[in-house]
Amino acid sequence: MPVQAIRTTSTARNGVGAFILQCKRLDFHYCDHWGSSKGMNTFLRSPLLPRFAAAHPQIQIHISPRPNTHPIIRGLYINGREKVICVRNLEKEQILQKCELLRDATGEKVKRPKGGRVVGSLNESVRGVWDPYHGGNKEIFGGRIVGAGR
Amino acid sequence: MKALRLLRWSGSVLSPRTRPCCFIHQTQYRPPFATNFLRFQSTAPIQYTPNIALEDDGKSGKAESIEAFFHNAPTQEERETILSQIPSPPPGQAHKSARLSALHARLMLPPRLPLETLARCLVDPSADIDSQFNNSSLSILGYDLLGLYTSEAVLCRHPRLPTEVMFAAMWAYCGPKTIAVITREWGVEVAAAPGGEVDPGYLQCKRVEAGNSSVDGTGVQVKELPIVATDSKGKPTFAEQGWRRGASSKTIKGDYFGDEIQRTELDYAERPELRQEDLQRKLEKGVTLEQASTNFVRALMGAIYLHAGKKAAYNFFKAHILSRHLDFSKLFEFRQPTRDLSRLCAREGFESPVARILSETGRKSRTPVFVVGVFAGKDKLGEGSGSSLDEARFRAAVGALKGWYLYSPLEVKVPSQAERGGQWEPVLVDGGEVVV
Amino acid sequence: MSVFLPRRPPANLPSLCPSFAGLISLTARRHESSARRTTKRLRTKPDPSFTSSIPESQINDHIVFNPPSSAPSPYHTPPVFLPPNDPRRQLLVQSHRHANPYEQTERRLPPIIKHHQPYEKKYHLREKEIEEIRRLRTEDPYTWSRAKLAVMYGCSPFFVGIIAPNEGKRAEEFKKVEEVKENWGRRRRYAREDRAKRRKMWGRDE
Repeated sequence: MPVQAIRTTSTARNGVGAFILQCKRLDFHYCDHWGSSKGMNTFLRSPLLPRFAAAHPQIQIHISPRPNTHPIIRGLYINGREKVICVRNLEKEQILQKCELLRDATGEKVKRPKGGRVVGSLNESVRGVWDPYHGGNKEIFGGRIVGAGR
Repeated sequence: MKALRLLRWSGSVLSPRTRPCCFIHQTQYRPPFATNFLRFQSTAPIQYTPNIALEDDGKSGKAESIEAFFHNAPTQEERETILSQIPSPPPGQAHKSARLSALHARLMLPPRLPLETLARCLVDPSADIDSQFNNSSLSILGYDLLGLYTSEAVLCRHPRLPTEVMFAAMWAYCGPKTIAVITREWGVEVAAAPGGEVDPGYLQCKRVEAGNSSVDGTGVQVKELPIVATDSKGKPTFAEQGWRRGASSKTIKGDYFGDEIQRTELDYAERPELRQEDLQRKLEKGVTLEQASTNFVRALMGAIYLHAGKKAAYNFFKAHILSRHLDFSKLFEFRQPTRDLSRLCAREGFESPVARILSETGRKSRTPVFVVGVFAGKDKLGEGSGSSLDEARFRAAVGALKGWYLYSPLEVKVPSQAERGGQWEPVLVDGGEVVV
Repeated sequence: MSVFLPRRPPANLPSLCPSFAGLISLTARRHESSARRTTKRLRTKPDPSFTSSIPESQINDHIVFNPPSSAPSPYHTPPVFLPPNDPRRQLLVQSHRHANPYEQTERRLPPIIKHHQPYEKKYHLREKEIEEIRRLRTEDPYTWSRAKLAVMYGCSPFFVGIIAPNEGKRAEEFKKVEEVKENWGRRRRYAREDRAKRRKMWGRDE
């Protein structure tokens, strides 16, 4: 058997070919009586929501009442997580901003990348990983440096 | 190369309800042959209850079509009863599902692909045995398309890949495991159980029972039960017969991953009842999620090809499958690279390879490092480092062989590009891998 | 590139001035007095590989070839492995003489690890000798081992194994080895297993 093969799977690079929006669904919950839902109720009646929905056909939009509580927007994501934002006492433009925030999120927990200069790439660097055995080495024959190796 | 006009004779593959025109003139459209449109009692696995007043139009069948039934504005109760009795959601429901149209938009599918076909792609044969309503016919086409596009992409870009590695690369790009991952990354959800009342945006399949679920509440796990051999399983596999399969057997008798094909069309031709038996077994035992997602993605590929054409199908493949990252150099596993390399050099007419020490440190210490290069004459073929001279030499030979096998031409035009209207250019055909 | 801090003034040393130790920051500050020294330290010379053997007039009109100090990637096909019609072949030769440093006459090739005797197959054994080898090996496989016969007839032990296989002896030897392995303790067995695993990793390039 000269050479055998190892079975692996290819890894996704979202956005290299197709871009899959990670937000699957937005749930809008409102209350008819509480004053904190005033902005939410105007948002739901305003043309802002149909415009947002038309611009993002890949997001399902669910609207349902949630009586006697503050209004919330819940985003559901492809990775199975969800993100909830309470929009009590917010104006309709502010609620739209929150929608956009949920739309742009990946659903992952918000984490600060450690080290400050983290590069996340699957491609190896052009010059490879540095090691001490290449580049600038000296060739030695019989205790005499004869030239620079590479 | 003359292009095939698949769309023209695809009538047998596409059931009439999913022609592109029915997306545009949805309300006006009536199928030319009512018989094709109907779900008959004889083909549907569950009988409709007689108390639902379905009109019997005598000549064409016992039950009226479901579409026509909904057209007659039934009550909510009747609607629910009939939906719960059919195995998969009726095509008319496709336009009512937000989930389905969200999926259509998320995948950026061509607008010519109707939602009805997308809904049909999501119905696995294990959910609905009727091939007019499930994705089996589309997935056969999609399987071949994926194989064609992936194999030409792999082989034209890396013409020297050994057969085994080529199979592994195919498996990495469009093998069942990868496709299951792709389905998950597309945000496709699986219905808990298939049925007519389920949202058509869910993947409909009957799941195989989990290995750790208990049998009838007895506490015995399913995987602990003795495997009952079914007589319809057919001939034993090569592995069961204790044979090791070589690359040529895999090429000729296997599928494009080098795996053995359990049932060929020849088997079905010899014993036509096998096909129905296989389907029935799937319906009873269910399928794994991996198998169901594989069928879905293949069917979607086939559906795009039929509805939107070659270019759209290739673009879809490029965007979703070829764009994935695969490190080809991680697919190799060598057993005797030094021997392979000397055979390769003898075949290609290079000088026989010699291992030379490029640099070293700590030879007499506990942690030495040797960097060894393999040379053919004055040309360095490969390089490797290791903590012993043997290891470094071995790794250097591996590096040299990878350098040979992973050669990639600068500009490649794949053969299917000519079919899509480009100029055909011959690609490099290599002598093949080293045979020892 | 490292920037060296100016030497601390003695007043900052906590041992000399214990009462102020907590108040005075130990980090270096830039002052007018230290600016000259700091900028001078920042002004480092370029690496000799970037400047050597280039006349002043051509300093802006050349290509610096500075190979990376890293192990070569398997995706870089060695020039000999390129097919004859590949354009990279010509480019590599034309672009720089560094394509193969060992082409220069003054460069010596690195030392060889192991000098093998060049082995040529002679194909000199006839039917009669092969029969003789078979006879000897079936008569007494322990006296007439493969190595011994190979020396006697001037062929390789591998060839002797092909023409006169002795399954009985082979099985017996395997059994002996298995018996020895049975007596191994945990540590020795684990060490051997680990070694085999590591060896497998060589081939996978891990």
